[in-house]
Amino acid sequence: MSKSKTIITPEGQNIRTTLLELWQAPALIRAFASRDLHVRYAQTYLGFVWSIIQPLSGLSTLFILFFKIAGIETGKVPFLAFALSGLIFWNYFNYLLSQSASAMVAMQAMIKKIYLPRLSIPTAKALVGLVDFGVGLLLLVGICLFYNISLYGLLVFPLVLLAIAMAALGIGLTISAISLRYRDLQQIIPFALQLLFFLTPVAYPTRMLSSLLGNDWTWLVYLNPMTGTLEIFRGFLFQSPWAAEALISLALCPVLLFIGIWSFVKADKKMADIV
Amino acid sequence: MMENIGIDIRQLQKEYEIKQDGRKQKFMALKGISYAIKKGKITGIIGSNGSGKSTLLKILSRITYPTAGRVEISGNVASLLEVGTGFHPELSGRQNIFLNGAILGMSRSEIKSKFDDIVSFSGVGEFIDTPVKHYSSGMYVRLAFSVAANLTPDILLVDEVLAVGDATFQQKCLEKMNDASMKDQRTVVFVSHNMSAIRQLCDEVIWLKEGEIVQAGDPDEVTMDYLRHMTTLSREKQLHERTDRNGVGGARITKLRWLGPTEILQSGQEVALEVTYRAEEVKQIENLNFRLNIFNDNGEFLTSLSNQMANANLSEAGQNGVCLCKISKLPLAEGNYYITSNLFINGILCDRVDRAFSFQVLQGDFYGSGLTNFKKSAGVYIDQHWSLLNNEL
Repeated sequence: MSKSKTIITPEGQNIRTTLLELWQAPALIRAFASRDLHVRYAQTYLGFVWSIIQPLSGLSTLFILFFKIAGIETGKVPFLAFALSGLIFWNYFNYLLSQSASAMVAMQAMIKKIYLPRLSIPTAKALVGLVDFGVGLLLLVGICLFYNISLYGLLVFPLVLLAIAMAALGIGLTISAISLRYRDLQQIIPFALQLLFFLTPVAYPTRMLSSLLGNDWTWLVYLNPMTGTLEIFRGFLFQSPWAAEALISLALCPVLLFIGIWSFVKADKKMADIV
Repeated sequence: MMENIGIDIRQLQKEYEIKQDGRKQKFMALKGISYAIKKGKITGIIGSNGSGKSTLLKILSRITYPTAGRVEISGNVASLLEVGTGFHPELSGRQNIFLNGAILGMSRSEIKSKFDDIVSFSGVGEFIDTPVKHYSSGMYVRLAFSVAANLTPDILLVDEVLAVGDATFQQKCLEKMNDASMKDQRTVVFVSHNMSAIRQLCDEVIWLKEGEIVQAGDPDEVTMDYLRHMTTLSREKQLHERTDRNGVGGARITKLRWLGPTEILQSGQEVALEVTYRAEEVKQIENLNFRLNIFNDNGEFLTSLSNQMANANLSEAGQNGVCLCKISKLPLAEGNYYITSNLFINGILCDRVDRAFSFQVLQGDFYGSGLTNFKKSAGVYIDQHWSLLNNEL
């Protein structure tokens, strides 16, 4: 018989106990992640091939829209390498944010029936997104080899990915906490993400955006956590210069995660009564 | 905390806010409950719907938080408010075992070590690698329950999940629960409407009503008092206020009531069902026909009480009246039943009320032999006469 003791009071959980519980539930995170992966391509004809088709078709679209039609200049860097280096991170950000934002609403039936470390649900989504990211990264390696770009710069990707995961999870958790009461937010997510895509330098250089604002307001574009992180990654990969303001984006990521966890823990207490 | 207490509940309160017509209303689901649930025992919680028993279980399961008060639980907790939480139809039985096990708080190695037990308990066998969407509903439930039944927490909270599956499997689950409490000193809290299961399993019973404990203690005593309370409520239930009626109208059954030698119905007793009706809007009653369909707790049709079938035409019936249906030996076994009432006048269905009346039957000595054990599966008694025809073969 275990010595553990559970004490239930009106106060509920705090950030420390919530994170501790999450840490003790690797089996659960793994189970949720593996369920998502298995279910994802169940009953599809092409199965895993979709994970390759999707980034390729995304890249083709960017190539036609931004390069052929809009004539975006990416300097010395070949457009395809430039765009793909942004696209794989954007896709991960997009997936994790939208999935974690809707995770609570999607799992309300379970939340009403059983207690579990609820953070494990969005955390598992961060793992699931890694599969698509991995495929994208391999494509990027292929393109870099094709254009004779040194792969050394790629080594910085875990750090950039971690920052982007923090930001996506942070924003997603905040939205999921608020949308327990205001479901409207769920309607806005796809639309807001689409808008954000065009405001994020995925397929065009940051300076095109900052030049619109003028020198004094350049820092504003780095309030988008994707902007600076992508610039830093490209700086390492393509040996291009990056602005010091890009660090604003990087610093913002853990802050967003903290806000997300804080609002999630606050909402957690009322979750079963509301959903 | 004392050594032999598994769950210590102190002054527990839960208040819900309900929005009604734009106004917030407060509703106290639990009004300050205190109780010490003993370690290694099975404690049952009974009460009608809305009595707070589910809220209590949800607080103990940590699904929701109390508004005031405190609970101390010694040991780790697993709660089963439903079986098969998180089961996904596209996943195989094997994958679902791992997923469901993890949701219930088992580690991977724990699930692995119990995997064979789970599969053999479920009887799913060779289909373990088939997606569960291809399972029959029985197989699905058995697999789901098998994962739960192989949990080994110190404290197990169970809600009415035994209402699933076939009778044999239910029995197997009850035995498993009993085993768990006896062998491993596990504390079990069991919420149920099934009085037979409560009496069969529990060491102690708590009766909740409107968020307060009415009575707690010996299972036989508490359940008897509870049933007595419930039957006095439902035996004289006024039907005429119900608005969920079908039929062409103009006449209605206004009251159903059991008359019997004791307050509570028992198998084998001589009882009578009193039926009161009003048919003021029908000008001429030529043919009055009651059809009272009796269903068991699972919604299975058992039989009808019908004056037409019993060849009694109540030809002199007036526009208001009371009829009596006598049953010389009540053949229903212990359990919960309900009646769906139909009133036909001149061959036309005038009034029909679903679940017009519910009642409970307790064990009784139908055959007069002293053998009354009908616990394993509910059914009906049949008057039977045995004799020896030839003893030379």
